[in-house]
Amino acid sequence: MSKNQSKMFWLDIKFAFSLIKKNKLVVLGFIIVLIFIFLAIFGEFLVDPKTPSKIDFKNKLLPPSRDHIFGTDDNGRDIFSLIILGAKYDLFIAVSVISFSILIGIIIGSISGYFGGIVDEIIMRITDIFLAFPGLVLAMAIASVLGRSFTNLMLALIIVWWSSYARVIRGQFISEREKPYVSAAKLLGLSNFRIMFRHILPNTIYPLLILATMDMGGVILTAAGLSFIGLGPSPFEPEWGSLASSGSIYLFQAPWIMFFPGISILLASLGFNLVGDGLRDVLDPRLRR
Amino acid sequence: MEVQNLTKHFPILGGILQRTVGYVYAVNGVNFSINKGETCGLVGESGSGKTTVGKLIVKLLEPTKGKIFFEKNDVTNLKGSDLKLYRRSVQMVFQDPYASLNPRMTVKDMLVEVMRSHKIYEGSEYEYAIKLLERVGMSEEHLYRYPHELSGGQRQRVVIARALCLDPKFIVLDEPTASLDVSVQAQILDLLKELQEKYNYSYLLITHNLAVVKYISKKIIVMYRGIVVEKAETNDLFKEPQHPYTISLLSAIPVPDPTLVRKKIILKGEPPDPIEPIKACPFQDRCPYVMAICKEKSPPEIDLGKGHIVKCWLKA
Repeated sequence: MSKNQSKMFWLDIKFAFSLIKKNKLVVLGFIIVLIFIFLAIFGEFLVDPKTPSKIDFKNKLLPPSRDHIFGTDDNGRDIFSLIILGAKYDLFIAVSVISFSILIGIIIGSISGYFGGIVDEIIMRITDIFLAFPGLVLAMAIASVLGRSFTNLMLALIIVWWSSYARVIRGQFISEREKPYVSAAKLLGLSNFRIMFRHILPNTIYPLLILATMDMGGVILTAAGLSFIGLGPSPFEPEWGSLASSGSIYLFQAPWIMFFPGISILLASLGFNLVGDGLRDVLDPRLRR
Repeated sequence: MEVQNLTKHFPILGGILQRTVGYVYAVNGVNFSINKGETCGLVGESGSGKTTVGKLIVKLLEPTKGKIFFEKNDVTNLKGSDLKLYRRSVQMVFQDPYASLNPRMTVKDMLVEVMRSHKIYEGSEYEYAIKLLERVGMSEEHLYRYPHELSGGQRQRVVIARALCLDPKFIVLDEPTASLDVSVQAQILDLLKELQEKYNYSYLLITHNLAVVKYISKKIIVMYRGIVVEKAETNDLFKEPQHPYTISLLSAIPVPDPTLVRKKIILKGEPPDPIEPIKACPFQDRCPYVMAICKEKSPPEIDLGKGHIVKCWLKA
């Protein structure tokens, strides 16, 4: 790294921040996401990490008060603590589902898009099978076949999610592979592997990053939806969707059980969407320089 | 470098089954040969198949028909490691230097990568990269620049340096100066000339700019609709153009003398659609001297001596 290069890098970062700052909603999104990540990492130190197993029927269904600012649930657990502890489950699901989807998407999409022809045809028809099912229904089917657990929920979501990434990356590769710099790389005798991953992939990464950020919200929402209908982790893993689900029977008696996890889900996915929006503005090369 | 009957037809796919519904007749039976250390200009209007010829020669495209010989070896169907070896001898410089450089790689990365993949100059890639940059009139300070941090002329120099790093013998220059402004054009052409004198490269210069060809090349090939209509030594061609198309092409060169009254030959009609199959003489619809035979039979190649060959019934 030369001095010039690192200077350019910092200028880039500064410029990016100046673009972000212009849009107040994006700033809001960033704040939400940062709080979310903070809670996911440090949540255990903020509240009693044993809350999920502390069942206390004396204090069940208490409305929000000074002791329990979000109230308590049907097992007498403090909802505020549960939500903070649940953040890590939701973030973990979102990050791992998206990263595995991207990984699979890159491998499949790049081969398909780069080589084209019959390879592309076969791979894309297989992808179409996955895309043809409504995502939530397919995830439900897979999750219910695999059984109720945290990993199975993730697995179900990955199986549903990768196909759209494969599609996007394939499209990017197809548009990039006709560009002169790819011809030039071929002409210089570089290997296909190198051209795919060293030359084309870095040029497709921005749209991918934007899509991934936007999708984080979608994954959180879908994961919560699945655990809401009972396909998520056990009640001792306070994932927000299952928290909301446990409150659904008490909707009229104790609406706060469902309300606060629901709001958390909403805010988290909204935050990622706003950041994704902001990233698109920042990373759009037409706005730069 | 020699090509015989080189032909490329691109299939046009159509319908839901993606069947071939027609062809783009890009290159139709091109013959020529270029000697070592020589520069040969390939001129013609847009869509005449010049660039396709270049891409066929460097094997970015597979020819439909015909053969390509390099140093007496048939290289038409090279594959795998043979092809990689061929890449070291034959390189190409593309028209748009900005588009042909990866925007996310520094100059050094690009040069070193190529040397590594061919396992040449192992251990001294860095020093050789500097040497290459110096050879094209740049210096070490440009090593860590990204393409967008370079000027147009510098980018083209980097592209040339990258082509040179495999130490090729034959370089296809596809409109190397088209996207540069005039003063930089001259610099790049001088650089190419100088490199040729030093290292005895052979060039195939593809261009629509006749001034460029006149400046640098010894021989000229004129193409029209994928067919070579005339080839000759540069001086002969400029002095005594034979084919009606070449004559009209030359008459379009601006002369910096406002008092000179010139007869500009303006061709009627549009350049032909390359989707239609070639019938007899491809120039018949626009030729001012069209005869009955031009619409019936394809014109023969007529040798006027001194390597001046014209494909026209007028000279038969």
